[in-house]
Amino acid sequence: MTPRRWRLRDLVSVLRGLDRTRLAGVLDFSYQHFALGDVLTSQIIQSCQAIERGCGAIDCYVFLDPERPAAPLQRDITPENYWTHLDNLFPALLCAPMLASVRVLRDRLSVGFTLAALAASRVPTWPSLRDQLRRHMPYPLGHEAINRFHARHGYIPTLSSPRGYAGWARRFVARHLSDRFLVAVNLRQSQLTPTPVTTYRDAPLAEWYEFFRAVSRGYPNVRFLVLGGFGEWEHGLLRHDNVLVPRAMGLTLAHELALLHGSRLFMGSSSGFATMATFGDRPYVITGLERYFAAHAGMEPEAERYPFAAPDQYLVWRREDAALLLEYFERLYRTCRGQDAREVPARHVCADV
Amino acid sequence: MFETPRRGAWLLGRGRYRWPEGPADRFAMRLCRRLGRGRSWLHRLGFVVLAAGLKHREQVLADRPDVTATLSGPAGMNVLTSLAVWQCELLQDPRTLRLPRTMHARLSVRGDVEEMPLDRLISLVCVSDVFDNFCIFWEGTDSPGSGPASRALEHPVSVDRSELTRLGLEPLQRVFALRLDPRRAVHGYLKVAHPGRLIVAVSLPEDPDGFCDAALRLWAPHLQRFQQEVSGTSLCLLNRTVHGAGAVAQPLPGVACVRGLGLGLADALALAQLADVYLGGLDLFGLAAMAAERPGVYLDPAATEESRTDLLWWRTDDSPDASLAALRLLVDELGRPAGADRERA
Repeated sequence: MTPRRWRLRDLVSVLRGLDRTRLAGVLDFSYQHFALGDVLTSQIIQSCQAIERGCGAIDCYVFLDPERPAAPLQRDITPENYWTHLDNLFPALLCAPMLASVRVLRDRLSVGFTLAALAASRVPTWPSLRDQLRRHMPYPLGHEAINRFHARHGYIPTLSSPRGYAGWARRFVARHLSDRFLVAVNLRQSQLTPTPVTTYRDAPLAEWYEFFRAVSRGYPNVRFLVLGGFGEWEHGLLRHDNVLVPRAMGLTLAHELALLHGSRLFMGSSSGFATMATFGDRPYVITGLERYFAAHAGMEPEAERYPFAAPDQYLVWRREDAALLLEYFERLYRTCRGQDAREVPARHVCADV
Repeated sequence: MFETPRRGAWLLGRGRYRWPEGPADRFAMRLCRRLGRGRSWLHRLGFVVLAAGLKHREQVLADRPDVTATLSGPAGMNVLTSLAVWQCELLQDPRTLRLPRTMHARLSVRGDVEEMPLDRLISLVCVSDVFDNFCIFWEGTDSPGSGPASRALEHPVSVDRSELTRLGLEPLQRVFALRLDPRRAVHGYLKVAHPGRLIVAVSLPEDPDGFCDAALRLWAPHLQRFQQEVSGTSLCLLNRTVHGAGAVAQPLPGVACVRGLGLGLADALALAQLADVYLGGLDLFGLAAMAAERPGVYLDPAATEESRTDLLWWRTDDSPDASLAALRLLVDELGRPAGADRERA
């Protein structure tokens, strides 16, 4: 057997060999956040850049440094448990439009080699290589690039059901929830998790319970899918006959995102699931937005919707109560039913009121 | 391929070393690590340049660090079991480097990708201690540098006793490494929900989405009867089920459907490893239980004869009646927890 030899010119040739027609979306968790909303927003920004640069696909690179598994802000993520967080968050990576591959790299040499190859091949990347070297990412992630894309093109790329789950969601709904009007809801409850943060953003549960009861009386065919981590819902929620908790069936974030995508509308607190709705095409109402975020989103505080949103996609800047939730629900419900009647006049529409 | 390293040979320019044992490589590795820890962009730049050279040297000089598999069907239990067996086989390959965490896996997904959920497959990779890098390429995309596929994960895989002997215990333990979070979650759950009881982890046949409801319809009455008759035991179902999800189906009395109680696949694998007894086939959960050498009734309908080794019972009859009768004998042999008889009275 001929001994294999290492040559510098071979290295240079390999480093220059990447495809420039694909955008490299990099998630380096040593400085970027393990957070659903941030990952989803990153993917939309990457998609906007990919389209503008004429790239046909996006390769998602996930860099994990076992010695520095998370940004300094997320101290609860340690070398011992970062795989759990990756396992939980991974489905969010599958929602990106134009996704061609996901590469999870925790080998230090592979990370360095990949960065060198991206630079040497001049592959379009997000974040830029300069920001990656400086480990710089401003949070909260703004919508500047997305708004700019919308202004130029009149649309934005949308998130889809996680790859591999659209068929599952259709089957699940047909088997367990056929002929129901599905509403995905997310009641942020950080105070029920082991690492509570910004608990003032949590949803007022009593108001939501009152809202569920009111809808149960007036709209018996409506089913609410409560999304969120297993720790984020109260035990009593299961006693509502119009509520289904996917996590109580052993389902994961991937299934929840697929069900959100397959629901008729979304209602919930400003959170990661709300980001999924924000960059989707379903009607929604997102409550409890913080005023400071308006500047990052490129709009005025108290604006009724994002610049790129559809007419039936609403923002509410104050804490929700049952009356407000019911008002928006009825408004969106009427819109959905109107669309049903227009799109498929002959289709059976549930007589549920 | 290379000569054995000799002291001083490197300084004289005569040394030939295996990757990464050469003094220059080892020094560069150490420097790369130090640079990688640095906080300035200059450190980071130095790290990138050095790591690129070292990685390329690894690709050229190291033996078989990259492995490839294909998937062209739903990632059901068979695929998950196949992935676990494949990892064991890779660890036993004499060409595999013995250093920890050196293999880089590529999975090429083909066919109807919208019908191929990958969550459980990813969970299994996260539990495993075998792969350093893990890349997924969907149909039509290139996987640069990949060789021919070494494993088609969707091909039927059957694990029997002889196969287990071939796989070996140590590789199984690396595939089913007991991680910190799942271990904590399982112990927390057992202490709260089943204090002092003898825990039986039960695995039933699943549909491609991971639900066992079809098998559970057959097994549920038998499991409930067992739970009533054999006091002091708790039956923990490791598979997904619709029971307990509120508006869809009510909780199942007598059987703890743990996947609906906040335990994910990684937690369920940990439960299979931490339970007192295992009942089920030699699927993914069965392999996890074997990795922890748990006593149990392992169902192997394809086997020609039944056998028992200490507390590992191999049964060919996988009907609920026969399986639970064997489980009852095993539980008696293990000895039920103190107070079980009092509870029964």
